[in-house]
Amino acid sequence: MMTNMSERSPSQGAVIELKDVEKSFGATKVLTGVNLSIAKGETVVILGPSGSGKSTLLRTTNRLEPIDSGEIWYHGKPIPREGRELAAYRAEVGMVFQQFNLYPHKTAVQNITLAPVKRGKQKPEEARARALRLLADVNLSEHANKRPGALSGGQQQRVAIARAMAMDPEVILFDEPTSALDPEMIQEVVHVMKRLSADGMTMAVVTHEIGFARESADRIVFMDEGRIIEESDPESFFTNPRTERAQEFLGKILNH
Amino acid sequence: MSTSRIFDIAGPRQQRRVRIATTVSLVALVLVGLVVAEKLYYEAQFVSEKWLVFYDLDFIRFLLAGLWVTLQVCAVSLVTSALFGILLALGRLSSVAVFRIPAIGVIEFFRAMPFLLIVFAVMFGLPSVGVSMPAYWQLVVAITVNAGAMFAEVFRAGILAIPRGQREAGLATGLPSRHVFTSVVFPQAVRNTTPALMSQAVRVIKESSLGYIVGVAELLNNARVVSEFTGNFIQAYLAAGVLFVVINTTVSYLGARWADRLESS
Amino acid sequence: MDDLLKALPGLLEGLGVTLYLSIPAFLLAMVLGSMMAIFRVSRVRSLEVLGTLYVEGVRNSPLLLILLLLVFGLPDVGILLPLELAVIIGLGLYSGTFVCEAVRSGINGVDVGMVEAARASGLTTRHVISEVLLPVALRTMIPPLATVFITTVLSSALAAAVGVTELTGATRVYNLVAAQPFVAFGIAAAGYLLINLLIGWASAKSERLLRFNQ
Repeated sequence: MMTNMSERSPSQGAVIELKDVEKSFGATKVLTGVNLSIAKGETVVILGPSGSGKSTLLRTTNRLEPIDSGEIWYHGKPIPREGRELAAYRAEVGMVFQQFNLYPHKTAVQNITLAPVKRGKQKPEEARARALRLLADVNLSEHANKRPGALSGGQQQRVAIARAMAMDPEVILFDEPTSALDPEMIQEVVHVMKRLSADGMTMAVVTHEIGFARESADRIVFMDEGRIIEESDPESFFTNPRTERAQEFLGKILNH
Repeated sequence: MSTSRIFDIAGPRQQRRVRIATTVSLVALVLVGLVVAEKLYYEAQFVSEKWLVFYDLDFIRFLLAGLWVTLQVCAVSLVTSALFGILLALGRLSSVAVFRIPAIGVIEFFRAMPFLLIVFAVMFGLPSVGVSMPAYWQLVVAITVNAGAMFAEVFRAGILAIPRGQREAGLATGLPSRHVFTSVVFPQAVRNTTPALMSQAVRVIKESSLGYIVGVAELLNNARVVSEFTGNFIQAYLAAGVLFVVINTTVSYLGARWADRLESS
Repeated sequence: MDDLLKALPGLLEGLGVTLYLSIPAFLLAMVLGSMMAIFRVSRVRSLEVLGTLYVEGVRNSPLLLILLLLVFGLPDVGILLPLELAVIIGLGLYSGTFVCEAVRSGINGVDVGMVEAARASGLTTRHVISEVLLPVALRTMIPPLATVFITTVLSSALAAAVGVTELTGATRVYNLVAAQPFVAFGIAAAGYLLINLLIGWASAKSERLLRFNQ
């Protein structure tokens, strides 16, 4: 699949498409010629050693980091660069962070309802009812009125996923959602993500959870030193990685 | 740097807005400047004799003599305050209540008092109980009492910040506890607290301006003499202000540099 | 006891003047300091420079010098302010620099990840600021701002040096008349301690009320 895609126009059916994306932090190049397209309903898992540019890739996708060159399309249109248009685009692309990043001054329910209410998407009562349903979905009904400080890491991350869902986004980006969790809490979050994937949510997931990748990914993208160097279905990636770097990477994480 | 991460990086539209805001604010600032200048001109403040203090050598020398006294007062006060502060900090950290409780009392009391009240107490209170001293020492004593309490808290924070393990390591190598303190804990505490001490030094320099009240011929007091002699209050105090700002900015800058070096090492 | 009763009215009046000076001065400092802090975190270079010049220039000058400039300098350019007003302005200008630093470090100290999450959720910049950034930053600003308030009260004593009889000035006057340093300074000290404790208590209380983990 490592064909030269630089001549390609926005492909049919792609929700998000990155084309020749380049990004540097100062003198360090973090993304080099990245091409990626994510189709409706697809779960793409991005793997790679730390510092390979996975997180930056996700962060550029909703413009938390601007890119130096190349293009990012949403339904065939370049993503907005600022202002209300950018906010409206971000409302369509949810994001879940490694550190949960809940609002510490708001309860679980308030964390979830803030964006839908402020964007005028839902009325407060409506938003609250929906937030309670979302919390029930992630098994947190009894914690609805607690602040993040009173919740465990796993519970916070499930609230964060519910918060991302509240905007009815078309895509959700997961940036190492389980890396900051204690081992016993990882499964409760992975479980929620698996269900979302099975329900047909379009997802891009940066993770080290190989179990999730094997079971839920439609496609594995392997990055190294800011480039996508391998792209395949999970079965062939895990049983028969083509690049030496991917073999090395899998050797390390599967045998530890 | 951190604010640039809080907000989105400016896109072209916002960059344009920033440029417009810059232009508008610059124009507004220039207008304000013109109004002030016009007022000053109208009040004949631009007559060159009014600014004598900025170019007449005698006046400059007189102000610099004041600055020299300011620096002397500060140098002496910094030493006495540091000594008093260390004493108070050790008292507060002591496990012996007889040392600890009075130290806490003294620190908290003097931190809660206005500096001028301390100055008045030294000037008018002490003589009535038979303690009198020259104005210079009245100023030094007042600063020492006030700054000592501040220094004590800085030192205490510095000592508490030294990891316990280091003290234990020192004791484990067989050093007596007193030597562990003087050769392991204390030097590091001083090193780590230097930036905070520098900002306290700025405070001391500002406090020394109460020589104006006590009657010490330091910078502000000499500026008062100039202002009364020439009748040009604005210029005399501005001149002193320039010198204070230069000295204090330099001290703050050195403190910040030291803090940077600590962070990178 | 008699001495105490004789001293009290004058000193209480002084305490009133202290509050009369320091409360408006602190409010002025809050407005000015917050404005300058916004200037300093804005991307508008000219305002950033203005904010920096203000903070560095005023913070590094002795407050007494600022008061002297306002009280004796302004009349030279034909501006005659009531004495108390000049002191309030000077005190507000001076404390404003500390408010500015407290507000600025409060804003810069906010968890960047949390703000990114707010942006990523589709909130506009205005809502990110009003719903997430400020509510969180304001809580962390309470203790440093309370310290600035205390400092403002203590600094207001310098008004005595330019002829306003607030608590410290009243202490000196009473001591001159009655030559009772222990009574005079004792009452004044108690007054300042009380104000300190009150502000400290209010700060701790409001911080507890606004704490996140409930």
